[in-house]
Amino acid sequence: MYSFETPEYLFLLFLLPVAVFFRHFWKKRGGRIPFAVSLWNREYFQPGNSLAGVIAFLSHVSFWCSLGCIIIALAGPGIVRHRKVFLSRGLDMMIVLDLSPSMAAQDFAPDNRFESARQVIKDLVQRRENDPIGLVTFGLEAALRIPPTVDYDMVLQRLEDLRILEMGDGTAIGMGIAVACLHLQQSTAGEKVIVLITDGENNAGAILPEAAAELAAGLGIRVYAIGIGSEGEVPLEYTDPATGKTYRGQFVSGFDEELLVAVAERTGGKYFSSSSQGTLEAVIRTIDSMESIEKRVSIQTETEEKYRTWIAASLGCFLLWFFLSRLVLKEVW
Amino acid sequence: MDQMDLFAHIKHIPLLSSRLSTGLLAGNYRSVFRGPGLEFDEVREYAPGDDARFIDWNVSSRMGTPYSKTFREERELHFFILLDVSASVQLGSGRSRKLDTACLTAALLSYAASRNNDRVGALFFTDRIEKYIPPDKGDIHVARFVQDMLSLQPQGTGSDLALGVRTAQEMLTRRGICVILSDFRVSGGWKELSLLGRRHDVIAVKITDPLEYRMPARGYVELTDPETGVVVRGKTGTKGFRKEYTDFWEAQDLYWRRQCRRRSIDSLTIDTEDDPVEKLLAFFDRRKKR
Amino acid sequence: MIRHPQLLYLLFLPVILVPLMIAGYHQGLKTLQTFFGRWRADILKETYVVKYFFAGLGVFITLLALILSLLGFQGKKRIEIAEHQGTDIVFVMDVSRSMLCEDVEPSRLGKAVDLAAGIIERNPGARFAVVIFKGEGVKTIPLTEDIKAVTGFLDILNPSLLSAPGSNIESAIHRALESFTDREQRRKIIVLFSDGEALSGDLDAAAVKAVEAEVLVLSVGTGTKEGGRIPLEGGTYVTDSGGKEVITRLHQDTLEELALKTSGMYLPVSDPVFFTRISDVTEGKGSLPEFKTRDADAYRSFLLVALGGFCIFLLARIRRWKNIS
Repeated sequence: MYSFETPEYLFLLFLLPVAVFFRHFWKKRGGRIPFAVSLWNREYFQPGNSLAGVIAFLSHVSFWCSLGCIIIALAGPGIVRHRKVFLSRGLDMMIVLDLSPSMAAQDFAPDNRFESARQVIKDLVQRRENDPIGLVTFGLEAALRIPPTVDYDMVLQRLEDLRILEMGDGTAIGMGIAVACLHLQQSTAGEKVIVLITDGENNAGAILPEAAAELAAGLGIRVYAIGIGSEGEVPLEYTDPATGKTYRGQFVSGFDEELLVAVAERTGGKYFSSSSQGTLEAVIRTIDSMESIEKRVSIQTETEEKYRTWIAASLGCFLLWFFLSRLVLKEVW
Repeated sequence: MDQMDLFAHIKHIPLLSSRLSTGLLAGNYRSVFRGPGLEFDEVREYAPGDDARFIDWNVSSRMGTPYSKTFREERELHFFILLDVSASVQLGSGRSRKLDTACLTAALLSYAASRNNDRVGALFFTDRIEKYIPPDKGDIHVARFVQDMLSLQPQGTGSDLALGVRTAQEMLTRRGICVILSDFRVSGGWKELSLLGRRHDVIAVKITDPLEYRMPARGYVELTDPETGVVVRGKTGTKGFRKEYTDFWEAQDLYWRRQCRRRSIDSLTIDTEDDPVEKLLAFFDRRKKR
Repeated sequence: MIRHPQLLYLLFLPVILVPLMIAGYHQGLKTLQTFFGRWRADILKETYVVKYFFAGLGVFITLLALILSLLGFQGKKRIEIAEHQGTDIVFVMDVSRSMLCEDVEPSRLGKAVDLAAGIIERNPGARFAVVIFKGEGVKTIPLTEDIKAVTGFLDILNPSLLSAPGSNIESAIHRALESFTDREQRRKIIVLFSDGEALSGDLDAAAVKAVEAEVLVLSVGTGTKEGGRIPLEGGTYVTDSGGKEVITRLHQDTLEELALKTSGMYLPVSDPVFFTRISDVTEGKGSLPEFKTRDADAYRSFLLVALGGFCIFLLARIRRWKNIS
C-alpha cells in the first residue's frame, strides 16, 4: 500500500498547474521574443508541425515531471506492509508416513493411496501458519526426512521427493513412531503431535508400536493414527526405486485397526479410518481443526521508503529536459 | 540608431532635401507628381484662340461681350504623410527600427515638399488615430512636425490602415499627394486606398527589415507578435522552418505589390539597411521616366 | 556520513553544466541580438546577463540539490527497540576440499563441527539450520529445534556431499538468508565456518542482503596462517599440476570484511574465549545493541533547496525583464 509520511507537501502539486499556466499560457509572460509574425487581425505565419515541436513538448513535459517528482518525494512516499508476528509458540507436528509397497494400491482416486496421502499432507502444511512440521517415513526401517521446521517450502520440497519403497519392503510402524518421538524430544512446544498414516500391519522394526506409543505418551505426544485403504482386493502398481522395475498385481488389503486404536488411545490421540480420498481429506481436516491452538499475534507495520526512486526520476527528467532544451533545441533561456 | 542619432541625422535633412527638391523635384515637380491639375484663376474678355468650352456664359450674358474663364495650374499642393506607428513598426533587427527609417523618409519628403512651397500635413495611426497635423506651409512647420513625429508615444499597438486612410480622405479637402509609410503588416484597407487613389496621388512606401523575409538560423525560439500576440514556436535552425517563413512573407509581398498595381498606386520598398535618400532618388527617377 | 558513495561521481554533472551554461549564454545572447536588433544591443546584454544568471543559478542549484539528496546524507537516527523471542542460528559450513587440511586439530572441518556442536550445546532453546557450500550453497537442515537432526547431520559432513568445486560464499549466504523466517521476531545470526580460501561470488552483495534482512554474520576462520597440506585417502596429499604438494592457508581478510559489514565479528578458531564471545552475540549481550538504529536520510532539506532552484528558474523565465524578453 502506497502511503506518504508527510502528505501535506502534496498540496504543492496544486501549484503546479498554476506554474504551468504562468510559464506557458499567461499573456504577459516573459521569455518570448517580440517579432512581427502576423498581419494585424489577418493572416499570420504559423509553421507546420515539426519534429522540433514534438521535442519541445517532450522537454516541457520532462521539466514539469521533474518538478512534480520532487514534490512527491518531499511528501515521503513509501510502501507500507503489515507483517504478522507470532508471539506464541505453535505446536510441533510430526507426520509419520508409510512408504511400504501397499501404499501403491490404486483404491484411492485419482492415483493411489500414497499420492492421496501426499496431497492431503501438502494441504495440511499449507494450512498451518507457525507450527513446525517434520516428516518421518518408514518401510522396513524408519528415518527422519526433515526435522520439525516452519520452513514449509523445504518441507513441501522433501515431500515431493518421497518415493514408495525407498525405505524397504516392510511396515515398521513402531520404528516410525519412535523416530518421530526422538526428534520431538528437544521441542519446546507446548503441544506435540504425531500424525501417523499407514495402511498395513506392523511387520518390521525392533520397536513394537505399543512400546513406541508408551514412549510417546511419556513425552506427552499425542498420536493421531489414520488407517487408510478399502476392504477387499485392490490392484496395485509401483516401481522399485532401487532396481527400477515396475511391479503390478492384485493385493488383499487390510490393516491392523486394533493396534492403531490402541496406539492412539494410549497417547490421548484418536484413530481414524479412511477408505477414500474424500474421507482422508475430511480426516486430515478434522485433525487440523482439533489441533489448532490459540495464537498470539502482533501486526508489525513496516514502511519501505520510496523517495529515492522519485528523486532519481526527478533527476532523470531534469537531465532529459536540460539535454533537450539546451543541447537539442538550443532554446534561449 | 537611437533617437539622438536620428536627430543628428535629421539636422542634415534640409540639405539632403534641397538636393532632393532642387536637383530632382523642383523643376520636374509636376511631372514627378501627377498633378491634380488646374484651379480657377479669373474671368477675362474672350480673346481669339480661347477654347470655346471655357466661355463663362453667365458673365458673358451679364456683360454683353463674351468672357472666358482662365485657369492656372494648382501651385500649392497638399503634401500629406500617413505614418504607421504601430508596434510592429517599432521593431527592427538591424541598425535601427523600421520607425526610424520611416521617420527619416517622412522628414526628407516633407522638407522637399516645403521647398516647393507645398503645405505639409500628416496623420499618425495605429489601431486608432494617434495624431493629426493639419497641412501648413514653411520650414518651421515642418521642423515642428518632425519634432512631434520623433517624440510621439503611441497609445495603440495595432495597425488599422483602413481607419488611417479613411481619416486622411476626410481631412484632405484639397487634392494632393499622399505618401503612406508603413510596414504594411496591416489589416485590409484596400477599398479605402482605391477611394483615396481616385482623388489623390498615392504612394505606398513599405518599410522592411532584413529579417522580414529571411529567418536567421538560430535555436528554438518563441516569437510573439507585439500587435496581435500571436505566438510562433519553432527551431529557426531547421531548413523547413526557414523555408516556410520565407515562402509565407514572399507570398504576402507579392500580393501587396499586385494590389498596389491594380489600384495604380506606386509602391516603393525601403529596407532599414538602405539609404532612404538613394532609394527616393531612384524612385523619382523611375517615376519621371514614365 | 554518505550512504551511497558510489553516486558521488554524479557530482561531475554540475561541473559539466557550467561550460554548457556559459555556451548557452553566448548562444542565447546571439539569438536575441539577431531578433532585437543592434540598436538596443547594449541594454539587451545588460538585462540578459542578469536574467540568464538567475536562470542558470536556478538550474545549477536544482541539479546539485537533487544529486546531494540522492547521496543519502545521514540525518537523525531513528531508534527502534527490538524485542527478541529467541535466537535463530544458521551454520554455514565450507565443505571444500581444503577444509580437510589438518593444520588445526582434528581437521578444519572437524574443528568447525566441534565448535558448531559447542554453540548448539550452549544455546538451549535456539533454533538451528545448516547450509553447506562448495561451488554453491545448499540448505540441508532447515531451522529447527531438533538438535539431534542438526548434530546428526554435522557428524557426517564431508567434502564429497557436494560435487560442484569451489567456494561460492555469495550463494551460501543467500541460502542461509532464505532459511530465516519472518514469522517470529528472533535474533538472526549466521555463523560461517570457512578457511577463506578461494572464495568466489559477490561478497558485497551478500553483505548488503544480510544487512537488509537484519542478520549478523559471525565468521570463524578455520585454519592457520601457516597452513598445511590437504590429505587424500591412502596417506597421500593433494598436488598441483607440477606434482608439488599444495599448501592451503587461512585467508581471514574476506571473512573479517563480511563480518564487519554486517556488524558481526570475526573469530579465529584459536580464540580462547570463543564460546563466551559467541554467546555475547547470540544472547544479545555485550557491545552489540539490543535496539536497532534505522538511518533516516536528510533528503527533505535538499529537496526544498531543489524546489527553490526551480522557483528561481521559473521566476527568471516568467518575469518580463525591462519589457525586453
